Order: sequence, then C-alpha cells, then structure tokens
Amino acid sequence: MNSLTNGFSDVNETFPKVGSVGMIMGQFAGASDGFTNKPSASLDNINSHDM
Amino acid sequence: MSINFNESSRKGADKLTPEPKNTGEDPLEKAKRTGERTRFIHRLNPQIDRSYQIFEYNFKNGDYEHAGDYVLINKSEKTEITEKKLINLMTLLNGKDNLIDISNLTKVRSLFTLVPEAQAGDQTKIILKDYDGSGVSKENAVFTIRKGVFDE
Repeated sequence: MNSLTNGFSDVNETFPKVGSVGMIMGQFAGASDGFTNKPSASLDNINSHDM
Repeated sequence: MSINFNESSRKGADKLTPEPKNTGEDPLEKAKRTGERTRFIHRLNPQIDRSYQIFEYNFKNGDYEHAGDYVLINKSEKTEITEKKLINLMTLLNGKDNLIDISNLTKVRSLFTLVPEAQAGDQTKIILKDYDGSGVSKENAVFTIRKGVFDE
C-alpha cells in the first residue's frame, strides 16, 4: 500500500508498472508496421537544388 | 435394494477426466478455471461487431473488471490481423515483449494519436491509424483503457 505517501492506493499495485503511452504504443505500432516505402534520411535523396 | 457400482464409478470418473478444452474458451472462464492471474485479458465483445472488451484483474475484488475496449473501425481488416494486434497489445500491457511480428501481413504504416484528456474523460483514448503512403491516414481502431493504467 502506498497510502503513507499520497493517501491513495492503486487496486493493482501488485502488478508491475505498464509503461508510458508512447513506449507501449510505439512498440505496438512497430510490430505491425508493414510500410515498405519508408522515407530514407539518406543524404543521397536530397536534391542538390535544395541545398 | 440393489446398487449398481459400475454406474456409480462411471459418474465419479467423469470428474477425474475432464474433457479437453477447445481453443475458443472464454478468457474469463479460463482465468477462473486455471487460477492464472494475468493482469489484462481480452475477449470479443458480444454486443458490437469486430470489437473487443479488455478486462483487468482487480486484487481487491478478486475478479476481472471491464477496463477498456478496442473497437475496430476499418472493417476490411482481416480478422487474423486484428486478433494478433490484440494479442500484442495485451502482451505489452502485461509487461512482456514477445510480440508477434505482423509487419509482413500489412502494407501500411501504423500510427497512433492520443486523444486529449479533456475529450477522453476518465479514460485514456488512443486512435490507431493506417497510412498507406498516399493521401492522409485512415482510422483503423479506437483503443480506450481506464485512466491510470499508463505511467504519467
């Protein structure tokens, strides 16, 4: 119980923390990301006129 | 009075050799039967097509409680893909990392948007989107879970 610290206790404090939304959903999206035409950050793709 | 002991024995034997459970067993029933206490489990929502209910084990009550929903918007998505996504989501929520790689089953980029608290109410609401590389992304599903599950 963490009632000594803030007066509240989570009903599932015996389970480990889940993690942040960004961390969990980032992994979730990564496992199902089948995008084949991923943009490349390579300098080769930058048009010289843009430099 | 005659007692048929063979009949009596047969009745008792039924309990000793339970029928094998099929793979479509309700997760809630399975949890109660096995005593396994996985924090988050999911099952098909019997009320809404292509929708899933998410349950969380509550130690105080000693039972599972409804904690969220996963509602598929893109109904053209194959059931196999949606099921695997749900398994992955439960895996992550349960603190594990043995995800099923389904990238070879989809041709889209998976994106997500967190709905602002003011609109999501007492839940954490996430919109999942598909982006096929042209135009704008399309909504794939809406995932809601009780506020407080994720670390702030």
